[in-house]
This record gives sequence, C-alpha cells and structure tokens, in this order.
Amino acid sequence: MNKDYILEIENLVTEFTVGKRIVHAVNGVNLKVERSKTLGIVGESGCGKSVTAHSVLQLLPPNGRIVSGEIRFTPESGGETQVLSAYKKTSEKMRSIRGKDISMIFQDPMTSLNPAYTIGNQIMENLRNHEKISRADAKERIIKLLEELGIPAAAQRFNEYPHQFSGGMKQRVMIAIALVCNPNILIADEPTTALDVTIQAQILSLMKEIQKKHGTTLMLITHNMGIVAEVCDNVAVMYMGRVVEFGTVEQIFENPQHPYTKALMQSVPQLDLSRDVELASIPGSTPDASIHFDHCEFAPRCARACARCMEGFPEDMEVEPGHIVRCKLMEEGNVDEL
Amino acid sequence: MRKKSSIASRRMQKLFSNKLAAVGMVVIVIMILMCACAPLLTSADPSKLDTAQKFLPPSAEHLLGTDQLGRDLFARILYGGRVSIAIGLVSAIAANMLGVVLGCIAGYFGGKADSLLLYLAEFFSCFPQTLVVMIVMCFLGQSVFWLITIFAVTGWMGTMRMVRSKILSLKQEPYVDSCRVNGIGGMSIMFRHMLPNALGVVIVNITLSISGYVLSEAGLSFLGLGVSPSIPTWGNMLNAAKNLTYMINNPLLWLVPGVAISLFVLGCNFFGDGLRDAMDVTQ
Repeated sequence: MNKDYILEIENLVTEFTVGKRIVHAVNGVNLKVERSKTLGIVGESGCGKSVTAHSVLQLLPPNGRIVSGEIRFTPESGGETQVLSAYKKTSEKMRSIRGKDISMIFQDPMTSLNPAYTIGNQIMENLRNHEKISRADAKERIIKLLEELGIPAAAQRFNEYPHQFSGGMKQRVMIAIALVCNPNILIADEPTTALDVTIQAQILSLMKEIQKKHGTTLMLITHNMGIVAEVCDNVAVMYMGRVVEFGTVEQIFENPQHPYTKALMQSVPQLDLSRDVELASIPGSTPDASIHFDHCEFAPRCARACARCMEGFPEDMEVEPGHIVRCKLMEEGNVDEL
Repeated sequence: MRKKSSIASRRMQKLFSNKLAAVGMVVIVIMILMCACAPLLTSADPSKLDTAQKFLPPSAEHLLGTDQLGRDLFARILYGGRVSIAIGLVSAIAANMLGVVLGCIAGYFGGKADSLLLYLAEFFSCFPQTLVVMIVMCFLGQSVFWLITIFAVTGWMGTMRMVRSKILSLKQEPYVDSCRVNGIGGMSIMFRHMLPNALGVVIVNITLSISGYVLSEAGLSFLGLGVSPSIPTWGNMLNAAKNLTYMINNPLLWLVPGVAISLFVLGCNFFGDGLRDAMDVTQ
C-alpha cells in the first residue's frame, strides 16, 4: 500500500527542561498524515498532542527542544520533500512555512486576536507577509474568504475590531487568518473547546467544507471523542508522548485494540446509558512525564496488564491493514476479533 | 469615513466628562497656541535691550511692562514659553521613546538582555541629575540640545520598567503565539503587535513627564545651570528676577513666569490624571 502522505513524523522526541528536570513530552511519535484527509489526535491532557503539533512548526518555547526524529513535509503530491526538523527554529525558511504552507488555529479565539487592530488588518498582515499582493486585491480576496466562512456583511466587518465579534465569529476570523494563504495543512489545536456546542458544530462543518473545496489536510487535536467520530478519517490515540493506536475512524471506534483506547471509549458518556450505572473511568492519573519508563507506560493503569508488560517496550504491530497498535498483548496474537 | 472604534470614543467621553482634565487640556492648548503664535500677539523683540525703558508698568505698548533691562515682559513670556515647553515636550518624548524601546527589548527577549537593561536602569536611577547637568554644562557649554539629551538619558528608567512589565504579561497572550504561528518575525511582533497594547500607559506617562521636565528646566535655569541666560525661558526669567529689590518693587517680574510655569504644569498634571483614568479599563 503506497499512500500519499503530506506529512510524516518519524521517531519524534521532544523534551522540556523544567528547572533541573527533563520532561519527556513526546517520546518517539510516528505519524503519517494522508493528503486531503482529516487526522484526529486524541488523548488525555498532557499526553503530548499539542507538543507534537508545535514540534511540526518548531514553535516550542525556549526550554523545549526536538531531541531526535524527522519531520518530512511534501507540499505537492509526488513533489519535493522538505525535512522540517532540519530547519532552524528561527530560520527564514521555517517562518515562510508557518502560516503559508502549514497554519494553525488555537483553542481560545477570545484572546487569539490582537485587540489593537481591525480583523481585516490582521488577516491582511498574514496574507501580505507571505504573498506579494496589493492592498486592494488582498482586501477583495479577504472579504470573499470571510463571506465563504459565513461572516455576514463581511465588507463592513472587515474594518471592525475583535471586541465587536462574538466567540464563534472570532474563531471564523482565526480560521480566515489561517486559511488566507491557502495552506496545505491546517492544524487545529482544540478549535472548539472554548465554544458552545451549537457553534462547535458550525465551526466543524465549516472546516470540513473548506477541506472539500480546497483539499486542505486537517490535523485535529482534541480530547472529544464525539468530534473525532464526526469529522476525522484517521485517528491517532496518544498516551504519555507516544501513539498507542492508529487507524481509520472505523477501525478505532468499531474495533479498538489497545486497552487504553478501549478504556477511553468506555468513558465517553452515552445518551442511552442507564442512570444507575456509573460512568467508567480509567483508574489512576497520567504519570509524571519526567519519570523515565523502561516498560509500557500504560501498564500501571492497565486492566489487562500482565508480567510481560513490565519487561521492555511493546513494538508497533499492524493488526489489520492500516491499524497499528502498540501493545504487548498484540505481540502475543491476542487480537480481539469483532 | 472610517467608523471610530466604540472603545476609543467611550474613552474620549470619559476623558472630557472629567472637568479637571478638560480644563487642564484647554489651559495647555491655549498656552501652547499663544507661544506658537507669539509673533502675531506681540511685535516686541524679547531680547531687545532698552535701558531707557526699564521697569515700565503695564501699558498698551507693553502689556505686562518691562524688566530691569527694558525688555518687553509679555514678549519674553511668550518666546520663553516656546523654549520651555519645547524642552519639556521633546525631553518627555525622547525619554519615553528610549524607555519604550529598551522596555520592549527587555520584556520580549528576557534573559541576559533583560537583566543587563535592569542593571543599567538601576545605575542611571542612582545618578544625581543635577550633578550630571553641571558636569556636562561645564564641558560642553550651556545649550538646549544638551539639556534635552541629559533629561532623556536620565529619565527613561520609569517608562522602561513599565513597558517591560506590560510586555512580559502581553507575551502570555495567545495572539502573540498566533503571530508566531503565522510566521511573523520577532521585531514585528514586538513593535507592531505588542507595543500598541502597551501604549496607553506610555501616553499617560508622556503627559505627566512633560510637566516634570518643564519644572526641571525652570529649576535648573533659575540656578543658572540650565539654558544659557541669553535665551529667554521661563526659568531664565525667574533667574533674572532673583533679587530682593525686584521681588518687592516689581512683583510682575517673577509673578508672570511663576504663574505661567504653575499653570502649565498644573494643566499637564490634570490632563494626565484624567487620561490615566480614561485609559484604565478596570475602572
């Protein structure tokens, strides 16, 4: 199977130095992002979802660094491949990729816009930063984009300030800033967490629409399983800085193999759940990321852990085409059939 | 016509509903206009000596009379105001600009640059300004340029600390991250995106420090350490009136520049305080 990958992350290790401790935020992540598809990255807080995304753009804070691994980016199908991890953090090359080829939107649209400038000004800045285009042409293009993103009276709102927009509208503006240069990849870091549910649905369907129209690849970072099931094509489940299970949305939701994924699925509340049944939760909490493991990180909390789980790391196993699980049980051929 | 942001117009309203601030602004605007239009208001030459006409009382020809050397007092107060206000304004802007740039650098880059600039600020704050003025005037001669330079070089520390702390808190704002995500460079983030959000405090500080520098100039010139006595300034006029007989017999000589200085400084302070309240979002 030779799929068309736009972004390949191989053995990515990212560390943070906090005081004298070293926090291993990402421990050898392998991810392949298919072109024009939506990849969901799910996991608990602190599992390294955001750090992985920030590593792609080399936007780590000063105390964070990529220790090893390779990030390969192929903007055009069959075209040249760029190794992003080889570029320097502050290099001109990296800056020209940010916002142009790969853009990102954040969790909180309320504070992600500069209150001192009109929204038109802020969208225009990104556009004119990456493309040679006259102010008039840029304005025309931005107004068209804003209309496409469902902002009414776009020509008039172009000159308004962020405080004159509601949360959902601000997130649309953020998406406009991210999309104005027609990026190949849009990384959305919990884009709907700060919005109410009806607006969430609107923003998600908007992002899908954009993807359909422009063929943008979406990377959706979230801890909301419902959103993943709704919009993603592929899912990567992360735990303690590693991808523990990867597969298509059907594979993950209908046939989860890793005990962690299964536990996650069970902890999602369901409408038809009986009132007397307590919602399942995963015992314990995420371990301190500065602890260095020499065995499967999930074993201490795993319901199905056995003695073997405490001896060495499990390997990535392909249990069915495209469905990769990183668990000792799989190595022993304990694949659960549907 | 671009519609004004509602926040800006709300602040304007708040500023002008404050009576003292409005009065302060009117006073300084009138004084600045009068000084700027000095040649239209008087035909007298502020530096022309005429010993035959000394100590004249106020008359139609000399609105405020003349001084001990027969110079027209009204002309001197207007032309002197030009220099005094210009020194105050330029020093305040220069000192604050220096503070803003250094504060941005310290706050944005942090680390070594930050501690170095903070040490530098400590160093300058424990330097007696009057002493520096005296030393520089001795070596370089009395001049308006050097006075302003000294004011700027010894006056940036407060602004720098203020801007630095503001930038430090702005650095945590997600919109700074989103600038970086979009590949905008450090300089542009620092001066185009963060600075406008920190500018409120700086504008207030400039207004308040204008009055400070006008006072400093008056004080130094009164002691004979400021601007050379040949140039009329409010401080030099006070210096010229520094004589017991003049004080008793010709009160206008010191009363006029004294009132001018007090009015201007008071106006600046009232306006600055009103501006601070209007800019303060927490109120």
